[in-house]
Amino acid sequence: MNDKWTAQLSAYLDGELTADKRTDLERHVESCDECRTALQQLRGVVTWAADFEGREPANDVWPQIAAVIGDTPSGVVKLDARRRSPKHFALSIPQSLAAAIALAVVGAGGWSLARLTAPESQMAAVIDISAPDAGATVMATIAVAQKYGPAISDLERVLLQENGTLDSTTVRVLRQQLAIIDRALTEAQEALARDPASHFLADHYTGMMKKKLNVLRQAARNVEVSS
Amino acid sequence: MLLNILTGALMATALPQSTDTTFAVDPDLRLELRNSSGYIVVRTWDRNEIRVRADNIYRGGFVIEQTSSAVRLGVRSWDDDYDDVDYLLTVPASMALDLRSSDGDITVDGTRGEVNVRASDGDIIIRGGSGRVTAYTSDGSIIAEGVGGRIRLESSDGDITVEGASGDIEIEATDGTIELWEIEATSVRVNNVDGDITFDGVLASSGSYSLVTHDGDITMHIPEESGARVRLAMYDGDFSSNFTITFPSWPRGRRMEFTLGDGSAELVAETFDGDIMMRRR
Repeated sequence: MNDKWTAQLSAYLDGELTADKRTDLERHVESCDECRTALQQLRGVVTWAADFEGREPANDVWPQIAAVIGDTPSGVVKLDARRRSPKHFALSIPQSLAAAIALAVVGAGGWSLARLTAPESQMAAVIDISAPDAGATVMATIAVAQKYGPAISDLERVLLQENGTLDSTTVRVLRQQLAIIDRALTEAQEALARDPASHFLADHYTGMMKKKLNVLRQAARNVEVSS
Repeated sequence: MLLNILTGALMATALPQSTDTTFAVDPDLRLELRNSSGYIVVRTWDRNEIRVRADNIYRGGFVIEQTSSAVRLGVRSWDDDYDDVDYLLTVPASMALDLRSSDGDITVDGTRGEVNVRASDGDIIIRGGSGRVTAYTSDGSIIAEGVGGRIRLESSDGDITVEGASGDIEIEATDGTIELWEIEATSVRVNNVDGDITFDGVLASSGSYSLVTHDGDITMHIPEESGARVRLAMYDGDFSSNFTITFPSWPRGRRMEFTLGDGSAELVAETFDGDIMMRRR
């Protein structure tokens, strides 16, 4: 795998290569295991990103619940604004994987929504997938976000619907907890971007996602108890 | 079937009322108490009786109800809500306890039974307890001493200290310091986000111990003769120890693994941002 080919993979998936370049790339991919794997991973990212676009209601919830609990993260971008932006995945593989992690975080709560629309130059997470196991580790992390994201969104929706039964202490502590966990998730995400082959970081990110899910579950149980 | 066995009704008045009553009870029943705000203190004795002293009852009546499995205490106010009462209870030592308070500290002293305590805003202290012991506080600290059995403690915002415990210990925290002292447990799992973890205790043969935090140091005090397969991981921190450690291979990445003694137990310590220290106990 070299930069000549990897630089074309994203454009290939977007149908932006000329016929000649497309044929050349397909021939190369047939003979290059690494490029074939990278293409599969990138295709998975694009497919998942497209699916993610279709899950708008669950992700519309967070700005509302953030408002309910008195938190208005400055980076949150309204989804309708995002919908108006052109859907375009012409990123390099590292950028696509970085975007995928950003999407994963969005799916897990929406705090990092701004990353999705951030200029390319500001994208913090640029992943070096030349490291051994990097692609697999990152994809595993994305899978974790896919696994927990919907449950987290569902719980957020429940809490939004039942917010009137949450006492002020619970709301305050919940807000603090989520801020701490989101900061930890961001730090783990950034570290993973710097060291994408680290299984420890991938596991740690997974642990933080589970923690966030558990915190939301606990809050939902509190709603049940008090209602 | 709900059986109302006693209603110590206190007539509505602007002045706070108190009650002090003692009644016989089957110690195999579970004691349930719900309080809106105010402290709850539970002590034990070797009688099959419960003594209830409750202060600051401003409205409604103090109610004792009994079902086939539980004795329920509380204040039934005019609007069918619970009131803000300070309780001092003395109960049979073996009686299971289920105590909840929205705003107030809860202390359980000397019990030998199961304990389930929840406080939305308040500190929790449990001395004694066996079987299944659970405590949750949203905003407050937890202290558990001399507890055995299956122990689960959770605080969203506050420190947790466990001393002299045995059995299985599970601790969940988000923001606070976790300290475990003189532990003789077969299983310990501590999961924190922002705060240090200290473990002082023995590692049981075939025991399992996991200490994980995101932002904090992990300090372990274990006997020199401990036997464990040890797995450590740090992203931004160092490992130090006064044990003689032989690494089977050069540490890979941010993880390191080695074996102490016969390697019979499993010990895991992971921190994203902090040091890990292993000290002879």
